[in-house]
Formats: sequence, structure tokens, C-alpha cells
Amino acid sequence: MTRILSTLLLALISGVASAQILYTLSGTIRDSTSNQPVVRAAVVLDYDKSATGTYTDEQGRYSIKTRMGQHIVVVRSIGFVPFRTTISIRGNTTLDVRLPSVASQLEEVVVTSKGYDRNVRQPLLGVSQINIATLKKMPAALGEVDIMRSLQMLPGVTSVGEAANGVNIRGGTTDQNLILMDDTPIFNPTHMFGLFSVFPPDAVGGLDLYKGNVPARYGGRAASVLDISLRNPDLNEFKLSGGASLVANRLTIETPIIKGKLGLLVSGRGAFNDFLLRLASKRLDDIRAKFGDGAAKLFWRIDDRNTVTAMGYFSQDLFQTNLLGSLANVNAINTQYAQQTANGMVRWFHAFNPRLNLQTTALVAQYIPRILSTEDSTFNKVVLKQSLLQRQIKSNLNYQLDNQKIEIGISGTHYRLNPGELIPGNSLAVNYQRTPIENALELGIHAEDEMSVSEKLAVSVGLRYSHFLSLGPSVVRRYGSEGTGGAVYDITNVVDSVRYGAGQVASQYGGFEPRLGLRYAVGANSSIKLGYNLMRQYLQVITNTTTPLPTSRWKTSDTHIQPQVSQLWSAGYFHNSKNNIFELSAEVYWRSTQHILDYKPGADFLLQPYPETQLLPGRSKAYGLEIMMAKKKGELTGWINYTYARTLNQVAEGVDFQQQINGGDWYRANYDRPHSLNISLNINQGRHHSFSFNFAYSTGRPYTAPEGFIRYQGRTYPYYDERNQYRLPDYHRLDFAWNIYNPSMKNRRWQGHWTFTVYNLYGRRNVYSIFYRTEGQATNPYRLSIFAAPIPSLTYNFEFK
Amino acid sequence: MRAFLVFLLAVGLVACVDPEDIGLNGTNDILVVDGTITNLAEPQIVRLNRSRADRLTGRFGTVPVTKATVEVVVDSAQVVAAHETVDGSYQLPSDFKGQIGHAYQLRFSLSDGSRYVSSQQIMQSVPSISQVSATFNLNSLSQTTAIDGFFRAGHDLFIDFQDPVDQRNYYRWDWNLYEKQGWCRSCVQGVYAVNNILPHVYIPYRYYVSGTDPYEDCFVPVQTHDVGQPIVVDKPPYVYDYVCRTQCWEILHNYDINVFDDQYSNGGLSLGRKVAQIPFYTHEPCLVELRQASLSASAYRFYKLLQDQSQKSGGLADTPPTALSGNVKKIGSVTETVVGYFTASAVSSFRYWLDRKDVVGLPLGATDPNGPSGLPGAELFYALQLRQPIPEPTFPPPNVPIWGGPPRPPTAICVSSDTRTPYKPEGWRD
Repeated sequence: MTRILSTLLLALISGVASAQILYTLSGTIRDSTSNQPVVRAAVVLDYDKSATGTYTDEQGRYSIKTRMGQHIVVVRSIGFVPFRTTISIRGNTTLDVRLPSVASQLEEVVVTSKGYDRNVRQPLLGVSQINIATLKKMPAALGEVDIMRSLQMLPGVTSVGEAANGVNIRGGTTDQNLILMDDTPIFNPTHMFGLFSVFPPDAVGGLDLYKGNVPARYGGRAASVLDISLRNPDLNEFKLSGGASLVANRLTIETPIIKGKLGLLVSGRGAFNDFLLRLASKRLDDIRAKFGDGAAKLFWRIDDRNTVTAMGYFSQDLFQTNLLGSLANVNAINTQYAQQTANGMVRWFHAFNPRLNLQTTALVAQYIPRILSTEDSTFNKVVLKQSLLQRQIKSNLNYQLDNQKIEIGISGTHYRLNPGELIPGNSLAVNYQRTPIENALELGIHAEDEMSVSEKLAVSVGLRYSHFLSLGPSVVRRYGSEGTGGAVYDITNVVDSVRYGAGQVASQYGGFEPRLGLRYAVGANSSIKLGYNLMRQYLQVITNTTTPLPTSRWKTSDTHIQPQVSQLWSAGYFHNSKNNIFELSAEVYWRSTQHILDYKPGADFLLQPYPETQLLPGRSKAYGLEIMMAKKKGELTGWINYTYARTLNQVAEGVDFQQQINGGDWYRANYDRPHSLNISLNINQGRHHSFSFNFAYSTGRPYTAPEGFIRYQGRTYPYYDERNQYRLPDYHRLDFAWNIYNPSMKNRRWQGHWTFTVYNLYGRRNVYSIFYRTEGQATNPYRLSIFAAPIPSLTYNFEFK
Repeated sequence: MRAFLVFLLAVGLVACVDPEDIGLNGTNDILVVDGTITNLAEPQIVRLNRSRADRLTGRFGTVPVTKATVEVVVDSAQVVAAHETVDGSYQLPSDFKGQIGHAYQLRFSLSDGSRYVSSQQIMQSVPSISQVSATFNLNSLSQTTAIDGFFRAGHDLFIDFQDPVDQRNYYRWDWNLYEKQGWCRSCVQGVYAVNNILPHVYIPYRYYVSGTDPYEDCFVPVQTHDVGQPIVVDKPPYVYDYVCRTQCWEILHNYDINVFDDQYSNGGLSLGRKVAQIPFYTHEPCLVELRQASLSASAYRFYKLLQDQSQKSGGLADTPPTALSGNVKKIGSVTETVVGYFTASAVSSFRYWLDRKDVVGLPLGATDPNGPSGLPGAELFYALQLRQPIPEPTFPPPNVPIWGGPPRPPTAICVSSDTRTPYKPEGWRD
């Protein structure tokens, strides 16, 4: 826009001053690294190729005659990053330009900190590392940089829709992803029912998504690992940054405490703008929607061999309305959903020598979701509280050799889970209730060796052994015909119950988790990779909704609920273009998971002391093909990927109608979306502008529609039979973002930048769900769209150095 | 969850709920059983229907299941047979009612010989409603259940009750609303006839002739080849409405399922439970019978599931709906689904006189844009029919002229049914 304007202005000026004297603009164009002259580089003034365009000669020299005044100079040559500048000509002028070659540029897209062609060389399959800078340029809904939403632009990462509480990776459920932020687990990655993610965007330093081969140091979840690391504070310079959008305000401070030794980073974000809602409409008077999160990180370089890092993270959410369905069986006029996360971590890094180091981490993570129901007449709050406390200590020894890297480690995790506690306050009706506390211990030991066997072959061999102990005090029911495979976990089938004392082992599971990766180079720029993974999951969410609510119940494995075991086979072909500008990959995978949990019709997990009576174990299979092409350097960067993926589940526990789903046949998972296509493009226009486009397409998710209707008690009700036999209409969407960096263009200490985004640019009414509601005597179908119109938003960010 | 959408709406007018247009091609053919034994002296009825889709069009329809043999087994010993009163409606003997603590089981066989049996239901006691209060609310009905798309005013009725300490209780609430009805019959393209109309007998070209046998129904003339038949007027379409001969009450029922489990509040005093929303039909007072019924645990689960997947759907995290399987099974088949639940419920009823003195604004019956009709009882008529009553005219003569019989226009009888009664309901104040 500004450019068009200035061009117009220039045209005007030049028109008026047509009789002025011509001056010469000349200079030499050279390669910035080799200092060699660039031959036949195009030099164009004011975008007018025919009148003022020229090419450099054999020595890289050029010369153009032009009038006095402001001119825009653009220098281009294939393989080099274009150069643009505005120049004021008041006489004969020399302008020498050094063009950086595209090949020498830092990769913009999916990049790595280890070497420039990690994609081809590393034996790990299915690793995506997103550059945070890339992420911040991507269009974001309502102007909030959102890691979970951006991840869905990668192949193999989907969700049930725009209000999903988490992502599904290669056919896994949302709770099968291990989400770590500086080693501490995040149990609920979203704010406000899936609308925003909980990671403070200004403090995040990098993220690795392991959806294929997972290194042996990770354990405890069945599908994938999302490892997010917060930035270390700058030890030498004070920095302040922040921003404001319609939704939230952010502030990050980085400051050295002892220069070069000790530094602190504090980052906070808060969304308290719900008063706007009340101003907008009287009908929204009762709505409260607030969230906040903050992280602090302390980095202490004791000496050259020892560092200590400490991290603290806190997040809180509150959401209230009187239109929301209340806690069943509590007579309430409104319901609030609140959740709180508090994580802390201390890590000591000690280098014995440059090749050998030890890293020891102690961490604690607590997640407390609550449902608060306000009773009529008394305004007393009845609280249903869950709390999950994880304490962990782990230690890793790394040994780096010339051709291999060896890692061994141990880890111990204690879980203390309060699955539900009903706190009545001063209620006359409601009684205090609690479900038994679950205590459990997960122990792990692992070893991994990454080595180059030859020029062509590299392998990564990892083995993890995990052991899980479900600890007392607890009461475990025994059901009839247990151990025969045909046990029916129902109250009518209880034969006995066993009481375990504090610390007594009620049940235990364990097993090896092999992690294998192999890379074979085919030529200089291509490779074939194979991988096999086995992972065990002892802590899971039990839920009966399409996407788990933040208040969904967590459950440790016990006598009746077995740990989920998932195996993943994958193979891939990787190709990098000569100068590493383009990258092509194709991966196939097959995943099979045992002991997934589905639920019986009408299941209710709240305050249920024996959740096994509400659950049905089953198995799941997922397979897919992921093709991705990325352009990593140049003015235009981005990627395009296509994924074919299927996820099917099977539950066939017995002949009874209540013991199977869809008659025991394979049925589609809620997030089974066979085709998806994502395009993410970023166009850098000089240092001050960038434009980004995201396009996403995917098959609609399955849903359950009635097979017909029945007439019962004077009303027409929908009649449902098979689960997930219909599909929602296809989903597609285009987003746009325009980033303006430092519009004053001056190198001040305070720099501002604006981001203008439009989410869902062409305003497609993507369907989130189709549902049937019985109103009066009739049943009517409806479709629900979350973002049914283009959503423009403007964000201001600043940085102070 | 809807509030969340409203939040989004406020932010950027983005989320929306649209009516969906889906041509469902149903293929189901399902036996539906609706039977409840109560401990009140009232008709104990079991209803059977087959809800099925038309084989060709897939359109939904329902057919009463007739000629079935229906019986209830009390305490696995005594068998009580029901007889069919209306098609698909099987009534137990009028002196029969349930008793708390006894077990009831439904058995029936269809005319094709297939036999069905329900699980045994033990009637649990139910505490009484200790207090009822009513509050007028301009937005009592939700936006989606607004009458004629706009009318939402009504009374919210709240009850207090003491949950018993010594047992797990499951509740269901229903209501019956009694409104004084002044108009008993509407005849479309015809007139009301107290006595039979003699076939093929005319005062040539002028009148049909009334007989003397009681008829009490609409007489809709059909064009015959008879000579002298008066002209059959069929255009424009017309309707005549007839006032009641005796006192008459309209009975309106709730549709929503409202169930409760005392799992969190066993033994507690429940205050202010909303159990009814009575639309503001007229200015006249009315009588509301609130029924608090006990359920078995399994019946509660059935109704809760039915409620969740029909009334509470549309959230961001719905539970995928599943097949509703009731407690009636076909003998010798595990696959055939029978929908519906046979329950034995103790009912404690509370009759509340709603005087409608605290209202604000106009009742639904007075919202006719053309103004009030002025006829007695027209408000309720308008509220239920959304049109004003049209009495049969005396001059010009009605489209179907009748010779003889009582003077015209006649009055219509109040036929006792599910929705109407000529007997003054208990608790009615004149």
C-alpha cells in the first residue's frame, strides 16, 4: 500500500519536474560472501523496467540516468536475495550493493539448530521443528500467536475443529500427546475451551514436535511429544517487549542480574477484556471470560562447566455463563469453569569435559480444574474440583563421540491424583463427596545411541524400560470371570473387593519400549529413513465428549484399566535440493494401539469411584501418507503438504449391546479426516513488511446422525444407531496476515510493529457440528459454525532494548 | 457452551447456529413402548407404536400397534391384563394402581406372535413437594422454544422438597396445566351436527335434514349425484368453531424431560428446583398439577441419556449420541432394538393455583395484531390456535344449511381425552 502510494507520488513529482537535469546513478553489485561481481543482475528504478531498468555488466557494474529526487532502487538476480532501498539523488551518485545468496540464508521454515540438512542426515523420522519467528508471522485467530493452531498446518496434525481442546497427531487422541514446557508437563494446552493455547508466545524459544520416532528419553504418552522450550534470558542486555490485541495484553522482561552470569526472564499475558462484552450487549451481562498465564525463567552460569536453570509457570482460566449447561444434579443458576496450572522446574547442567555432560532435573506440575455451580436463592458456590500433581526427578548422561552420541538416563515420577471432590460450601442440599485419591509411581530407565555406521548409514537405537506401580490406599473390586478375558465390569458382577494399605502396590505394569531409527543416504541430497516406536501410557483422560473438556477426568492405570500401548512403524523419503532451498519429504506410517478407552452409552465419570464400570477398552489403528514440500529460503518461503490419514477404533468386549460399539466392527474415530491439504506462505518484502497466507483444507470429521425418528411420550425424538457414520461438510479456510515491522524505519531503542490479520478471509461457514435438538414436540436439525465470518484483528507489539 | 458462542458473537459476529437442511433418508422400523405404572388412582396406560420411515420416501411416520396382548405382572405372581381403548393404547383395569415396594413387569405379545418382556421395576417411594412458588418471567421460554417464534413470557414454577436420607433417589418432574376452555369443536369445510344428518334426504337445493339420533360430530358434506342436494361449497376453505355445551378444561402437558439424581445431595433440602414453565396464554387463572415421580436407577439413566442427546445437544463438546436401548427386550432376540422404558413410579402431585396476577404485558391470547375478538374464551383459543374463533354465522346462512335439530349454531360437547376434560379438576377454583 505504502509502496503504491509512494509510486504515485513519485509519478506526480516526476511529471511536474519533467524539465529537470538528469544525473547518473552507478555502482557495482557483488556477492556478499565471495565478493565476486554479480553478472546480469537487474537494477530497476521506481519499478519502471522499460524506462529505467538495466543489467550489470561482466564486472558487475551498472549505470542509470535519472532525475533529481527520491527513487526506489531494486536489485535482483537469480539465486540472490533481492535488495531494495530508497535513495535521494541530488547529483551523480554511487550505490554499491552486496547481495547475499539465497543458499547462505538462514532457513526460515522448518529449521534446526543442528546443521543445515538435518532433514536428510538425522536418523529421526517425523520430527518437525518450527521456528518461532515463522510462527509469529503466521496469521492467528483474533491476533493471538497460537502454537496449537499453527501446528495444525503441519502434516499429520489435526483436530476435531476450531473449538478443539488439543490436537490429534497421527491418529492419537489429545491426551496421547506429551506436551512439555521446559520439561514440565502441560495437561491442558488451551485457554477458553480451545480458543487459545496456553504457551506464553513471547517467552517460547523453540519447539520440537516428535510425531514419528520419539527419542528414548521421552515416555509416558502413546502418540507424540511436543517439546517446547522457553528462551533463556539474555545475560548481557536488558530487553522489554510486549503487545496488545483485542483479546490479551502481553509483557516480557529480560534482565541480567549479574552481567554474564545470572539473568531473569519474566513473561506474562492477561485477557481481562470481558467488560467489552457487557458494553456490547445487555444479554451478555452474566458472562465472565478471563485468562492469564505467566512464566519466569532464571538462568545462572555458575562457571564454564555448571549452569543452573529454574523455571516457573502459572496459568489460570475462568469462564462463566448462565446459558451453559450446569453440573448435572446440582440445582444451579450458573456455572463457572475454572482451571489452574502451576509448574516449576530446576535443572542442573554439569559438563565433565566437552564430550561428557550430566543434566539433572527436578520438576513439579499441578493442574486443578474446577466446576463452580452457583445455587439459586443462596448464591452459594458448589465446587467440583479435580487435582493432578506430578513430581518428577530425572537425570541424563550424554556422551559425544566423533561418530556417535550416547545417552543414558533414569527418571522417577510420582502421580497424586484427586479425581474429584465435591465441596458444598454452605449448601443445604449438596453433601461433601470425594473419590479415592490415586497414587502411582512411574519409573523409567533409558539408553540411546545415535551413530554413523558409514557415510551412507546412520542409526539411532534407543531402549526405554518403564515400570508403573499403582499404589494404595485403595479399594479394588473383583469382578466375576476376571482373567478369562470376558469380564464384565458392572456393579451386578462384583464378587469381592480388596483393600490395599498406604504404599501397597495394588497393580503394576511394565515393559520395554524400543525406539529405532535408520537413515540410508541415496546420493548426496536424498535419504531413506525407517523407524519403529513403542510407547506406553499410564495416565490418560477419560471422557465421553468429542473433544475433552478442560475439566475431563484424568485416570492412572489400575487393576482394571490397562496402560495404552502404541506401536508405530514409519518409513520416509527425504530430498533436499542442491542449495537446500527446497525440501521434499514423503512419509508413511502405521500405528496400532492397544487398550484405548471408549465409554458405555450414558457413561458418567464425575465422582465415579469405579470408572471401569463406565468404560469399554478397545483398540485403535491409524495409517497414513504425508507429503510435504517446503521452500526454506528466499523472499517467498513456506510449505505445502498433503496428508491421507485414517483412524479407526474397535470395541468388542462382549456380545451384549452395552459391551460393544457399532456391533463390534471398526468405526471411525471422532477425528478421522482422510484428506487434508495445508499451504502456508510467507512473503518478505524487505525488512519492514511481510505477508503471510495460510490455507487449510480437510475432509469433514465424522459425526453421528439419527437413522430416523421415534414418537415417544408425545414427542418426536431422533433415533440413533451406529456411531460416526456421517461426515460433516469439508473444511477449508484462508487466513491472511500483514506484518509491518518498525514503521518509523528508524533504528531506535523502542521499536513497534503491527500485525493485521484476517482469519477465514473468504468467510466460509465451516461446520463445527451438526446436531439435533428436540424442541416442543419436534426435533430440529442445526449446524454450528465457530468462525462463520472473516475475523479481522490488529495487534501491536513492541520491543525495547 | 452456547454462551461461549455468544461471546464470540460479541467479539466479531462470528459464530452462528443455523438451521440445517438435511434430507434424512430414514430406514428404521422400531417398536416404541411407553408405559408407566403410578400409585395414583388414574388411568394406567401402556402405549405401543411402531415408528418407521416410509420405504419409498424415507419420511418419518408412526403407526399404533393394535391387537397386542398386554399384561403387567405384579411381584412375579399376579397377572393383570390390559385392554385396548384407543388404537395402540392399552389400559389396565380402572381399580388397578401401583403400590410402593412392589415389583412390576410388562409382558406383551404382538399379533404376529412375537413376545416381549420388560425388566422388573420396583416402585420406589417419593417424597412430597413441600412448597411451590411461581415467578413471572418475560423470557421464561427459551428462544428456540418460543411460541410462534416470538412469545416467551410465562411463569417459572419452583419447588422445594426434602430428599430422604436413607435411600438413593431418582426423580422425574412433569406437569399438567388446566385452562378453562370455552370452545369445544372446530369443523373444517362443514358444520357441527348434534344429531345425525339423514343421507340422501334434502329440502331440495336448500337444506340437509337432521335426524334424531345423537351424532355430536362435524358434518362435512360430500358431493353426490343426488338430485336436490344443496350446492357443496368448498372454496374458499372455511372453518366454524363451536362453544362448549358444558364446562370444559383444556389439559396441556410438558414435553421436556426433567430428571434428577440425588447422588450429590442425598438427604438434603432441595430449594428452588425449576420444574415447570407455564406459558402466559391468557389473563385467566389456571391450575397446574406438578408431578414429582420416583424412578429406578436404570430408568433414570435412560431418561438422562434421552435428555442429553435431544435437549442438551449443540455444545462444543457434545457426547456423540448412541442408540437408546430401553428395558424391553424381544424374547429370543438380542439384536432387535425396542425403544422406550417401562417404569413404575410413585408420584406425589401438587396442585398449584396460578392466579396470573403478577403478569406484565399481554398474554399470547391477546397478541392478535387485528385486536381482540371480544368473544368469551377467545384468548385461550387464540393462544392455542393462533387465530380468533369463527362462530357459525346465522345470517348470511352457513355454507352447510341444516333443517331441524337444535337451534343453530349448536353447542359442542366436551369430549374427555388426554388433552381435555369435562370434569372439574381437583383444586380448581371457580
